[in-house]
Amino acid sequence: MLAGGHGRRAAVAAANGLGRARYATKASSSPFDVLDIRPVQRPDTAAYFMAKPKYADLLAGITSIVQQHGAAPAGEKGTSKKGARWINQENMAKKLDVKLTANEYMVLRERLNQANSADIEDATERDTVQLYLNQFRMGYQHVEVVKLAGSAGQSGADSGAASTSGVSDVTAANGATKEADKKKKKTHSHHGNMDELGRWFGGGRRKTAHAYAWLTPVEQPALTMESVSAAVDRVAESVNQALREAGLRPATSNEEPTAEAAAAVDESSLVPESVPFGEVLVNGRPLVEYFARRTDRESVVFPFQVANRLGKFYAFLKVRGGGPTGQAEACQLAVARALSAATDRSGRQAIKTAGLLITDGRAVERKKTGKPKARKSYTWVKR
Amino acid sequence: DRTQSTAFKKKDDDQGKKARTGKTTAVNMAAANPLYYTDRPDPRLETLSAHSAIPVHVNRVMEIDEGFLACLGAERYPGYLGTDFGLFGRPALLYRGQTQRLVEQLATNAEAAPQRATVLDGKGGTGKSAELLKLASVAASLGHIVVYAPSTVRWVNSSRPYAPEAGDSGLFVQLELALEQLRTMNGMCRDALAKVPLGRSAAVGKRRLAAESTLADLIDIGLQTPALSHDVLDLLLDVASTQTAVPVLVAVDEVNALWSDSMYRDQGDVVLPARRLRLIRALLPFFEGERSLARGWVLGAISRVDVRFMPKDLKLRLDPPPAVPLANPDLAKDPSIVRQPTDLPFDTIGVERLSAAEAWALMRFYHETSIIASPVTEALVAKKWVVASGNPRELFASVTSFA
Repeated sequence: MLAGGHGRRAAVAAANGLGRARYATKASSSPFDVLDIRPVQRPDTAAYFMAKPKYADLLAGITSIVQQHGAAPAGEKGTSKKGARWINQENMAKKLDVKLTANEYMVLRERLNQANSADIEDATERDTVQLYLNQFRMGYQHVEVVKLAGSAGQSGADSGAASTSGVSDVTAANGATKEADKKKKKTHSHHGNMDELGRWFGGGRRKTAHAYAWLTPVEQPALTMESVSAAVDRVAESVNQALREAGLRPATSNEEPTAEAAAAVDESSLVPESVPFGEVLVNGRPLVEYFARRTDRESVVFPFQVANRLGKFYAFLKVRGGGPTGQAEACQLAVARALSAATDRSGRQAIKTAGLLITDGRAVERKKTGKPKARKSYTWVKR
Repeated sequence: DRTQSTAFKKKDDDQGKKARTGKTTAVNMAAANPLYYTDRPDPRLETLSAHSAIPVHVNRVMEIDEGFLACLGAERYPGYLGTDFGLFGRPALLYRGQTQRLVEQLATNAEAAPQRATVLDGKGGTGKSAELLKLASVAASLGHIVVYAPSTVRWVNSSRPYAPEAGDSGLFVQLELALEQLRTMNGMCRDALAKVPLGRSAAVGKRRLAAESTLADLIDIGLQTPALSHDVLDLLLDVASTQTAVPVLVAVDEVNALWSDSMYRDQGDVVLPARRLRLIRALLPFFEGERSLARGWVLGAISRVDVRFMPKDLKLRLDPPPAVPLANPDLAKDPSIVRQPTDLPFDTIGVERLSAAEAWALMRFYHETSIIASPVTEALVAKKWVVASGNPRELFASVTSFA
């Protein structure tokens, strides 16, 4: 029967123009061989039919490392190496392209810690494992260390060393990039950081109100010869006008102004050319329109006042939740956080000394059972 | 003398601090502490006139002509300016860059009048009424004929008597207000009115005027005979709008009241729309494009103080909602779906908030008049400007409040 089956299959394959090598391997001994309905490809991993195959494979791989080299169980002192920080749950999910629950992330992190603290005797294997775990470390950036073609003679002698120390070079380069990253400003929105548009960002909360602030410095007008001379001409003209009104002879360019002329000049006629003040917008509306109470408005601009930066920044605030006072206080905290990063040391110190960076955690106290409100009690009745 | 009661004899209060009713203060100034009770400061201010309305005086506080204001009367100052002038001790306003532009436009329109009226619009407290007042005083000093109505809401808020007009016109007259308007015009621009002849013989009541009679003669008739004040005002506007001898400025504050419903009711207890008042009817055609000036400018100012006299339709046309395009193409083509119309019968000029230089000038003036005791620094000006968002009314309120 089998022989007939083989012959028939071969005949069918020949009739279809298919090669023999497709099925006929000695290793395959499935009962489906007779029916020729076995699928062409098999899943390459046992986790194929699981809900999260990538996560399961990763966990299995790291667990195999732990089991192979034997690490201390989780929870014992000294299991995680000092300084081992792994990417957070969100980034891990992006990396694996799968949704991770908190428990799954916790388990994965535990295994990573165990693998990181595994006691591997072989240096090469240890470097390989560390290189593998590096992709899950926070702030890791893979850097290829490449030898230049010009240094071939030298590279011949160093190639052996380079090949063994290639991993260490990469590790050292990763360490260097980490240091560079620390100095480099973060580009994502974070308290007291500048975003890609050059705005200083800060967020704050008060009671149930959330506020976000973006600050942009007001551009100071560039002092050019034209602007300076125009300002001087304007002042001179106003001085001459004041002298004419006072019945005195206007000064010419070659004469020095007399004492009478100086006394006749009114200070109000010499209004300086002022830089425009930075406006504050809250949810797209001017500050005076959004907050009706003056005290709320003043509390929003208080960080600017403390840091002596009033009118020097354009502020755009976005606030949600809470009432007017809660929103105003939340805006104050958001502005203080953004301004503390945008100003110099003295401004930062002033803001911190004024206590503007402290979150006010007071909130409405919950109602308790047996009482009409948080503290109030029902009227006591004797009988 | 036993006929005189001794129980109710008034005590001699030469040395005490008893206040008499409304005439003297409660403080004996002779014994007052000189640190607290000082003389009111008297800064030297220039009077706003045709000669002083020049670009060099931009960002300066100037005084409005007292003669011009005397024609209005203290109780008829527009908006809150009466209170402000009382606090300053003098009728002073800031001559802004926008004021200079309006003065230049006034000079341009004095030669070639535009077809459409112009209305000053902006948020509450930005200085629309103040700009109109300044412009009217400059026009009066330039020798224009000035028809200035500082408060049109008073015409429609039923604070003045009204009566149905004789006949079946359906209109209502307000003789007291019309007479008041004639008196104002007579005081402001009598000389200019005397330069304009009627051009045709006219009959006002039982009086007949020759063609050579001037508008000043016409106004005299109206002042002498209050019952003819409406007829005189209508004839005066008719002649002034068609003549080209003297430029005319028609300045109406709170112009939104012209389109609102008044607080009057007719004989059937139906609410009267403002256009059924004869005084309103005399000025409304200028702002609806039905009448125009041969030489001069028709200028109005919106008021957002009293929302009762801001018609909803006008409000939507002045501040239209964003016209988001309809995503559904069938709805976009449907002719029955009508968007809010945004066309207006007049042109609008937006009155902007204070600039930094204007805020500086204003704060310096407040310091000179002892409204602000502390010296004016950049931090103070910046704080007041930012908290007020450049709104002049809010800035003044923050300076004068005790909070």
